[in-house]
Amino acid sequence: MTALEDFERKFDQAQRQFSSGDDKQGDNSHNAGEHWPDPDWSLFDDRRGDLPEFPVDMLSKALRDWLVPAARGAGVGPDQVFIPLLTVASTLVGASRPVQPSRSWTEHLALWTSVVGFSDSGKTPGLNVTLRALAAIERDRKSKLGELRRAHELRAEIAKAAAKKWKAEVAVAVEEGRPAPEMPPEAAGPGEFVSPRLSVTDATIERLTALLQARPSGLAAIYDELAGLFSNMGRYSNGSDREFWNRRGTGSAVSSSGRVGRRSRSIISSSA
Amino acid sequence: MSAPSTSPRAIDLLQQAAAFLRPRLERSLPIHERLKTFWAGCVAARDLGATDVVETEFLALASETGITADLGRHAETDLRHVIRMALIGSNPFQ
Repeated sequence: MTALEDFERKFDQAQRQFSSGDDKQGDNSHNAGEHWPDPDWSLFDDRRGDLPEFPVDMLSKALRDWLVPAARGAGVGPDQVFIPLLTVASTLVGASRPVQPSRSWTEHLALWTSVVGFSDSGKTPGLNVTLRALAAIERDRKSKLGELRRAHELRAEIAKAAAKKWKAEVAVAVEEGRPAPEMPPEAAGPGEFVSPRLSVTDATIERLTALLQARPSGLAAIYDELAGLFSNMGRYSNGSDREFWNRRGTGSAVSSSGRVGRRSRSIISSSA
Repeated sequence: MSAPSTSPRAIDLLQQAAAFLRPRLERSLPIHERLKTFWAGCVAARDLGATDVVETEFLALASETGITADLGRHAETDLRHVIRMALIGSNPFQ
């Protein structure tokens, strides 16, 4: 059913209910508490319940035609391929396109997803399908990264020459008893070159901060074990990891060790 | 090389809902019928956007279809009331 057909159905229903004088809407999603199904008591059992099938039919045909064979090829379920795909896709959009649900509410595309399953249930092979595609994109960007590196080295050399010239001018000014000239902005070096990455695996927050300087629109932080991520939350390194990750929930600006970075985007973790 | 995009274009569902309702709100119909239709449309559209967005869209629709003019002095207050009741699934005419 399309969204418009759904709207028409609800419209007819509302009109009928208006005529019958019933102001409670028949749509269970809002006002029909008496129609709630019984709770799933199996949640209290000491076992993992049966998961519902991933709704492949909800996807567009093109995506379905790619996803089903890809999952079959990896020997995993479609959900184990699609969740990492959705998350990594959001990181490629990153902070460059915010979503505005209403005039006073803006959200960045920050997805936090986790693939949870028993050991050997296919978490890593499912994730690898998307990571291979990401690696191919990284390979295609190599020549652009080379250009960025060369431009950075040129800026560094210009800064070095400007600094040398300024130092000489300061020396002359001091010798002649004149006030020393201020350092020109171009004499400040651009710092170490950090290659902009689309994803990073098991990185510390210091590394993430540096990478976000290079790619302000964000990147995917992928953790193979949630335990490793959580155990680092308690450590202290110029600030708490926990605070850093709490702020990342909304894709807010990064500030660590006195440096201001930009935004992190998404976390994919696979954990048994 | 990128594959040709086959994803559907983004669709403004509220605009589609307004287009569906517009002919049903014609000025030739009695005002109570039009208000009933307006309220039912708002009930059906309440999941298509944030509440402030739905309210703005339906106020514009009321203005465009002449409901605001036909309701007279307190039209905007009354329409906001109708819309807000519709957004919570209640009938303001009872």
